Amino acid sequence: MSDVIAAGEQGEVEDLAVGKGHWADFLSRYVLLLLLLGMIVIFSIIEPSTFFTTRNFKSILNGQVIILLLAVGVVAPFIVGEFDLSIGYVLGLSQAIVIGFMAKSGMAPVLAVVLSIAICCGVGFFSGILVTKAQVSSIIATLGVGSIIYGFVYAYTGGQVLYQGVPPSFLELARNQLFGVSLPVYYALAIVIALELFFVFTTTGRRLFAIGGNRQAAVLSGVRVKPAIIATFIMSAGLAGVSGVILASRIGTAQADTGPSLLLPAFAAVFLGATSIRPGHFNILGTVIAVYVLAVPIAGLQQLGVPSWFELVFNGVALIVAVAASKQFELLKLRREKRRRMDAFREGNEAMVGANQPAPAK
Amino acid sequence: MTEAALTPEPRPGVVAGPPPALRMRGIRKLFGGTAALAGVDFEVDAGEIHGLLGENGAGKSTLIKVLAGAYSPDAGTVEVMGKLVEPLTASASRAAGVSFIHQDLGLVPDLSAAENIAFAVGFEQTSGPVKLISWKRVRRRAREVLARMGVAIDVDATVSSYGIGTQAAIAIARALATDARVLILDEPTATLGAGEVDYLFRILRRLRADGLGIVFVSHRMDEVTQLCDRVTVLRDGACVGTRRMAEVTAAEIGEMIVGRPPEVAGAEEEPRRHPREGQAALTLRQLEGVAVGPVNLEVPTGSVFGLVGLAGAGQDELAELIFGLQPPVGGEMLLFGQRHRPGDPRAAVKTGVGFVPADRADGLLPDGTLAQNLFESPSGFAFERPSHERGRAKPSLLEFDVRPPKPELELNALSGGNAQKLLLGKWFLREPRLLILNEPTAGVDIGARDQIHRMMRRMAGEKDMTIVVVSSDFEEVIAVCDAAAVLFRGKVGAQLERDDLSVAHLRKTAVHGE
Repeated sequence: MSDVIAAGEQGEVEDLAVGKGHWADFLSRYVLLLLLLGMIVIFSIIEPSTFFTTRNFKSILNGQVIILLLAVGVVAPFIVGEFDLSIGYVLGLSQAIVIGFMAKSGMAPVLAVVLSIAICCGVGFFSGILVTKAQVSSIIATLGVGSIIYGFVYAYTGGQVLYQGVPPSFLELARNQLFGVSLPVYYALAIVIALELFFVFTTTGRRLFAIGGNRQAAVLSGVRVKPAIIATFIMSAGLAGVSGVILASRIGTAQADTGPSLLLPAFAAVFLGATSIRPGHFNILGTVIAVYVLAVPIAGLQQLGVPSWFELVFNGVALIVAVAASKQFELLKLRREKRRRMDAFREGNEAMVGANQPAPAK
Repeated sequence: MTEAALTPEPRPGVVAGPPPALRMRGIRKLFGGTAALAGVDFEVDAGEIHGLLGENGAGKSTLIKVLAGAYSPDAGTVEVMGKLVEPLTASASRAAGVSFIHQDLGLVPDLSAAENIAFAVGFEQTSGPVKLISWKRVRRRAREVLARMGVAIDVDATVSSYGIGTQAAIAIARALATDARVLILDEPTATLGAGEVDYLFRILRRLRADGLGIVFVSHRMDEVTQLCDRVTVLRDGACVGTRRMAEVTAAEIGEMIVGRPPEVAGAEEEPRRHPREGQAALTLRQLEGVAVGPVNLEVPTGSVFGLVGLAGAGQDELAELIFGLQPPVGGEMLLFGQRHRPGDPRAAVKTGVGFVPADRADGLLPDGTLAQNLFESPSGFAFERPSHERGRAKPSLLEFDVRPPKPELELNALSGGNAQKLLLGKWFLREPRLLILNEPTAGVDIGARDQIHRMMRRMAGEKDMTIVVVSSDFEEVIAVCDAAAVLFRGKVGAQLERDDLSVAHLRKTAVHGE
């Protein structure tokens, strides 16, 4: 990749372009993927009989679907520069009401699922309104909304575990398999593909990046910022709702306190994911890889007998390391670009510096 | 006024007959009782670069905002390419082909050049039944529109990876992509270094040849004389006149702007001093930063010393090294004979060094009162009654000619030039032994600029303060400096004494390094 690209035929104006083929950029793009593959190889060597089995891989794949959907959903508000801290609580809400609608109200499974997800979208809409119209900072708004939901879920379940009267057809949603792989993996795959297409290949998706990158510029180029931000909250809450339904179907019960503990691993995955594939940008594929980068060592170490509290510590460390690492990458990149511009300058891009000078006057 | 002698290039492609690209007639705009614009006529031909000049508050920005549809005029009409724009709204103005490049370019820095252009014109899509963005076409169109300007860059690189000059080019490309016929550049060069300014000018001349009508708003007279075909001067909301650049001198334009013969800058009031014998205020030995050095330099005590260079030649980084904003990679600094190696700006301030950043916003509290801004202290908890503080601030505001001199006013109420005077005043009050000013008059009008220059001369003369001016404005360096070092590709290309300072000399050294 040449640093200085020659100008058009006239050769009139040139520029110091910054090449993008630096090895460090390549490394940062794929480091997470390499890390994942490396860990799989290592654990497979240590525990060939328990880790390196189809069953184990399927179980990791399927087991992470809940976190995965939470994480890819919350990518949307992150892209526009907002936080959604309520996703764990929304997941809990969705799980409780989908079971409750069937068990307590005798609703048909299809209706219960649709209604639950719709209610979750409504919660996202409400958060979005708080952030855009009432101008409450998103951290505060979603923290508040989360607590409100948590309270209502307690009231709704009465603090009990709901498990009686769940129709078996509902349980098939998560427990059935296709080609030996559990259905939720397919749901996740479809959602991931749809989101990737949306964020990378549609104008609406790209506008979200403009909002996050320079809100004023987005406004000036005609983007309707507030509806877009509200939509991102609906996306994150809606996908939290979907993962709540899948969780409910998988375990067949609902209790008030499952959701909140899932917030942190989802955030860790999103931030870790932002260091990879498209470094410096929140992105879907990076997030997907990150979910498994976090899951594989936990699964592997637990098989080695590491106690379960380790997972909490690990996720916390991973979140902090991910953010710190991406900051360092950014600083290094800035420094490198500065040097490179200087080098191009020193190598004598005379065409740029020297041409077209007015004749010195007396 | 060396640049004034240059005759602008003949304007290609202008024939009598076709309507002007832009015609504003009898524009009136009242705010409350006062007329910000009192019936202004303004015309820009196709294939012309037209300078719009005037002091802050003369009505330039109001006129531009009327054109942008941000203010609706109380009277007057706007025609673009002979067609009346009616009603005058933001979208109608855009649709008619009027495009604005503001100093803040309005790009999304983290996204690619191609994508920034696509945000303005829409993303090209695949032709299949499923409408998805075709990144290939988006890139191709970005390359095409940049090629029209003679710019060939990697359109996939993020905007932030380019220098400001190229960023300005990308912003212009974005305007062109929307089929702009009239391009308004509002102080486009205020943040650019000399090399980048030349680069921008080449682009603008090319677009002029393409038949665009270009309005160029700037405070820098040398740029206006170098670039513009005609100029229109506003004063107190009225049009003073339109002149062909070939038929007028910079001094005459200056007189039109201020309404009286220009005062001669502080040069004559304060005697220039040739460097004294004795200890240097600052000595740099083999000093090296990431992209600058090794530099050897001596700044005499009590002098106004210029650090000059094209954008990216290293003068900014040198200033940052002296103020402890970056650690040096090698070499050493001596401050009045003492070893100087500040770990951070706070340490630098303690040793008596001050630094005024190029971006005013980095040095002031926008919501604070003038008094708070003047006495804002980086260390210590000095409790003071607000009324007492305001009393103390008053004489200083008068001294530095901050208008209006009301200590209780919020900073936001000040014009750019007055905010700049306040910012400099704040540092002058602290009386640092060495004060570094980065582009002290960028985006400041002529009147305020002269005042700032006089203040600098006075501080150096009366208080024995040593002032280092980082500037890409050669005329400023000549107006105010006792001596200057010209940086070239990170090294000192030449060190010039008072008698050697001229625009031609500075430019030659900055460009060729000798």
